[in-house]
Amino acid sequence: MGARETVNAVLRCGHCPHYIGGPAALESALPGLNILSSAFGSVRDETGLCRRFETFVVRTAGCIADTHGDAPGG
Amino acid sequence: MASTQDAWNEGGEGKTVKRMGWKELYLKEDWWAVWLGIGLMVLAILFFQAGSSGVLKSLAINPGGLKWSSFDQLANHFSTNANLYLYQFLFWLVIFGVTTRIMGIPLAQFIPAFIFLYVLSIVMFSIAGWANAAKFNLEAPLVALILGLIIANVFHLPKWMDSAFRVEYFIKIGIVLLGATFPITLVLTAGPVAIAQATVISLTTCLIIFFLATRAFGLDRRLAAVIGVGGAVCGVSASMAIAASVGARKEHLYTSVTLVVVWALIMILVLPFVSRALDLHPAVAGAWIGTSEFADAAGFAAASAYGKMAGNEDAAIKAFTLMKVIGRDLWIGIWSIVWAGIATVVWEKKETGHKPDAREIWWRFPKFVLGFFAASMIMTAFTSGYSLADFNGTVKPNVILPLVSLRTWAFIFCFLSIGLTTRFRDLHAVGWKTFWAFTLGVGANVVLGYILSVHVFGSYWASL
Repeated sequence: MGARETVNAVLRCGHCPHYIGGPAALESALPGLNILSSAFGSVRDETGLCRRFETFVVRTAGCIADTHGDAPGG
Repeated sequence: MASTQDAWNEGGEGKTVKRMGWKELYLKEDWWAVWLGIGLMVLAILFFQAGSSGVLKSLAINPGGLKWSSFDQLANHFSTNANLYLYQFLFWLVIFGVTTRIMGIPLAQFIPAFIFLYVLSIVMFSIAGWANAAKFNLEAPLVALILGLIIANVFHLPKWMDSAFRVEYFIKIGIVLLGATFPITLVLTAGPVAIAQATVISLTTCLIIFFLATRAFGLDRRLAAVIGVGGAVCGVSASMAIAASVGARKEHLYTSVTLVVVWALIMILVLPFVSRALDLHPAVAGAWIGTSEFADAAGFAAASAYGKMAGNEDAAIKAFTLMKVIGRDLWIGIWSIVWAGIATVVWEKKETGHKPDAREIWWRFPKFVLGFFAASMIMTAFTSGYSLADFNGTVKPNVILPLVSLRTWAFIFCFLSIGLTTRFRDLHAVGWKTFWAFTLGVGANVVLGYILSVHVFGSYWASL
C-alpha cells in the first residue's frame, strides 16, 4: 500500500497551512528557482513545498506525518 | 492576487482537493506562451491577408540589423522611429503585464521592472547592431548574459524586480514563435533522430550521476535522483518535476539549483567558443549544445551565440530545438513516473513521495511545446499555397520576418533575465561529493553528446 492510501482522510496538502503551492510564494521560498526554471510552468504541475517537513509534496497528497511518523525519511 | 493563490491553497478542511483542471489554461505560463505565440502568428497572417502587414512590422522594429558605425546614425534611427518604439513598448508591457497579473504577479512590481528590462534590451540590440560587433564577439546573447550578471551581482537589484525577469516565460513564447519558421516536415523527419540521440544521452547521464552519487560517494538517493534528472533532462525544472515523486527535501532542490546554474552558465560561455575552435557546422553545434545544456534558456543562448558567430543562427537554433525541446523536454512526465515507481517499489516506503500515476505524463507535459507544433503546422499549411518566388517576395518579409523579430525580442528579454536573476549570493554551497557526482555526469554528457552529434549523426545534422 502506498502513501496515498494510508493518509489521513481529512487533511490533504492543499488544505494545509504548511503547504506552499502558489508559484510566487514557492519562488520566494526557494531563491534561485526562477533563474533557469519557473514555478509558473506546467512541468511543476502541483508540486509544492511542505514547510513543516521541508519536503516536496503534491497538492492532492496526504500528510507525510500520517504515513511516516513525525520525521520524514532521511 | 488572493484569488490566484486560492487556486493553490484551499482553506479549511475537506476530504478531497480538486486538481486545478481548466484553471491551468490561465494560471500556467506554458499556456500563456501558447495563446500569445499562436495569437501573434494568426494576427500576422490576418494582417497580411488584409494588406495591413505594416502594423506588425512596425511593432517588430529593432536596431539589431542597423549596422551603425556612428552614434549619430544610431541616434537618428531612434529619433526617427521614436513613436514605433513607444508603441512596441506599450505592446509588450500590456501583453506581459496582463498575463503575468492573471498568473499572480503584482503590476506594481512588474511595470517598473519591465521598463528597466525593455531599456536594457534596447541597449543590447544597439550593441548587436554595431557594424563591428561581430569582430569583438559582441554576440547579443553573451553580452546580455554578462551585462545582466554584472548588474545583478554588483548593483544588488531588489528581489521584487524578478517579477518581470521571467526567463522561462520569455523563452517559451520565443519557442512557440520559432515554430512558425519550422516546417512541420522537418519536425516529423528529424524528430525521431533527435529523440533517439537525446534518449541515449539522457539515460546515460542520469545513470552516471545517480550511481556515482549513491555508490561511489554514498549520497542520499533522493538527492542523487534530483540532480541526476537535473543534469540529464531539463535542469531545475526536471528536478522539480520528480521532487515530489521521490520525496525530495528542500535542500536537495537547492543543490540542484546551484549545480545547474553554475554549469549552465559555464557552458553558455564556453560551448560557442569551443564549437568555433573546432569549426563545427552550426547545426552540428546546435545538436551538441542541445544534448549538453540543461535548461532551454541557457541552451538557446549558447546555440544562438554560436549561430551568430558562424553566420547561420537559424541552423544552430533549429538543430538545438529538435534535440532539446523535442528530444529531451517532452519526456519529463515519463521520468517523473519512472522515479515515482522506483521510489515506491524499490526504495523503502518512508522515502516515498507518492505512487506513480500515468496521468502525470500529461499533467507535467511542457504544454508550450504544443504551441510550437501548432505554430509549425499552421504556418506550413498557410505557406504551402505559395510558390517559392511568392514566398520569398511577399510572405517572408511581411509575415515570417516580423515574427522572427518578435521572437528575437523574446529571446533578448530571456537572456538578460538569466543574468539579472542570477545572484551568486543566493546560491547555496554544495558538498564536494555532490559536486563531483554531477560534474562527472556533465563531463560524460558533453563528451557523449559530441561523439553522437559530430561523429555519428554529424552529416545528418549538417544536412538539415
